[in-house]
Amino acid sequence: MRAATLEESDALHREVRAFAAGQSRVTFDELALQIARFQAEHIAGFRQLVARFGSRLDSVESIPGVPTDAFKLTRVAVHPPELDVVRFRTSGTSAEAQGVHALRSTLTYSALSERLGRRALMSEESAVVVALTPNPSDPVESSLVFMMREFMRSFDPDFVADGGVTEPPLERWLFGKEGANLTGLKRACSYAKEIQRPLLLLSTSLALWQLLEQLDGVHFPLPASSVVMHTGGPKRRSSVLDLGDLRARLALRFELDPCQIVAEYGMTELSSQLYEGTARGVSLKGQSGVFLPPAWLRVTPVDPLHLRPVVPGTVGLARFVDLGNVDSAVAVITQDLVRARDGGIELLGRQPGAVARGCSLAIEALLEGAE
Amino acid sequence: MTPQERVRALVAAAREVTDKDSQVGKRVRAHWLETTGLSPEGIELALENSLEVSPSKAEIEQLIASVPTSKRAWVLLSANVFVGAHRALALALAGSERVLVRVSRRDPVFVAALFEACPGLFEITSELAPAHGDVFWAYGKKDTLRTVQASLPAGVQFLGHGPGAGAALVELSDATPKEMQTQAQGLVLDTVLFEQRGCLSPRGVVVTGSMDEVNRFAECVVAELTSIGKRVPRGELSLDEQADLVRFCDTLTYVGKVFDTEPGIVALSQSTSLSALTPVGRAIHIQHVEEPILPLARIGHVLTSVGFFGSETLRSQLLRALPKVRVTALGKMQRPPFDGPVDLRQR
Repeated sequence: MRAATLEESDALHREVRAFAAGQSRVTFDELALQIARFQAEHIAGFRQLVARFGSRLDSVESIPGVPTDAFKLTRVAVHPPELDVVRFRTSGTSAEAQGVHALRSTLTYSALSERLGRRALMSEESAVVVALTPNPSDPVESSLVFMMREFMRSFDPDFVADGGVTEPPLERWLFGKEGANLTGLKRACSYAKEIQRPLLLLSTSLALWQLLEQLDGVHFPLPASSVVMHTGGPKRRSSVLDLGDLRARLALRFELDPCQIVAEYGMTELSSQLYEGTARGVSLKGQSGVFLPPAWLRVTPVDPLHLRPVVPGTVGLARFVDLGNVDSAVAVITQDLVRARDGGIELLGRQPGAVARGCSLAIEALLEGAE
Repeated sequence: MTPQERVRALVAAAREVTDKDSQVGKRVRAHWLETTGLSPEGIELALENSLEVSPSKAEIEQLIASVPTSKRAWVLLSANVFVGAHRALALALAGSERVLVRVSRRDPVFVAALFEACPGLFEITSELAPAHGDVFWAYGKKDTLRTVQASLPAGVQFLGHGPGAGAALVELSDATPKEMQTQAQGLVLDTVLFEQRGCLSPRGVVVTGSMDEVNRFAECVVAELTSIGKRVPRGELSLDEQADLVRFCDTLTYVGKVFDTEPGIVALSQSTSLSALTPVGRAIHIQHVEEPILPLARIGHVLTSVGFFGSETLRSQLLRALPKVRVTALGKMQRPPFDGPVDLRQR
């Protein structure tokens, strides 16, 4: 990779971080197009996609979205593998190839996720941050776990990363072979109460369901103003009811206002996230069930046949334009079904693919690994 | 009647029912046009290539030997590929004197026509009431099979057949132009039959050889797909099927190279993962690999059939890696011998 290309990439990264900080004179559209042209110049696959669409890359709408499947079948990156500093992998069955999102630098990823995470989750300057996930080993391969660790570093002054000792000793990664570590969670709660900070509990929805089972109806009050962030609803069925149900149960058991249970939407193939803006005292404001994108991420529901924006209020596939994806794919087409609402999107599950009409296997069935 | 007589009676009925000049033949064709998503030419192609109306004596003996015997057998049919009911009935009749069939709501006409053509050979029922000692053949989705199996009384032998997919393995090293063309023809025929909606339909193709050989093979496949498209128009695709094709096309444009044909898509890549099964509707993904067995073995749990061209050594490796998969010549994937269930995964 030529030095000039690296410099161009670095400059774009700097510009995106400045944009996110509100310190850039460049507009979203201009920056998205600069990144798209940069990627078209350096990624043959994207260049082919641009040619197929007959795109002149002269508007954000004209940037062809890279289907998420491409991340499973090939490398989606401007830079060569030897420059990767992290490779985020999608979860998958043994039959399914894992998608890989390779980053040359995590600076932009960290800056963007911290900036929006603070707006969505933090009503005070700091919190005691714990996660319902196993202690990650390096290199971290899950973008979610990477983000959790970034939140611990940024939001929790007592957190010491990379094997250091926190003072007082506090377990942060509260999930193991036996499920949720309730003792560790209790200790974190006591500490948060003692130093009068809210607790920020980060988790997947699945781990929270497991925690609820372990609690078996017993109340587990969290300190006042605590926030529970959860992500990753069941992707292969509608998650709308599940989200509401999970929120109600968690609020009851943790003795929290339901608005303090905040859903996050993120995916390995993106560098940016979306959140519900329901928590009290935070600057991100929105309704329950509506995922709000930051200024550096645009979501458009598109029809699955022509990939054009659908009529407002109707359901379409989520097309993301993510300025954080400087070195991979600035526009990504997912199979998630969404509807635009109140400045954000509602998540309506996943495009199931065609229903098998003969005895053929539906594409999704392979991914479930059990047909 | 002996098992041989029962199977032969069914085969004769199938011949009669699918005679295109008969009244019943016209009736079933009109129905299939509505339900299968195939063009009239696609229906004829499937009848010609995939409905077994002239099995050999040896095949029938093998078919009989492949099934358990019982006095009574039940058959729960699903909306399978439209000729699928024939083999399903043959299997039950091969093992049992009394056969009761519950037809699919979406495709009741073929079985009803067979019933009319040979009254008394089997019964059509809306109630399934198996008892100890019966054999129960079930076809359908995995969830359906699980539910049905759980509901059966003790002592009923359950034989479930779920959905599946086929794949192809082509070893091109030193293949002659003629061989390449023949293999491309076979692959395209297997693909076009049922528009890839069958559990034997190829949904991925792994190919070994030089880059030049693979490119030439892809060009042969494009030519064959274009050619057959003129004789056998593609049937209608649902909106979801069309959307799957769009996604496939965009993905493979990024990942490799896409050749548009009318109708259909041929893509060429060096991806080694078969996890992205091609969608239905004449989509062929040729994956140029160095080691072809591993990608197939990874999805072995869903594979019913592999269309094969290559050396005996490679064939042996394939059979060792996938012992429950039918390995056939390309062009014959959709016409496995009439020697038992098409899907051997239950054995």
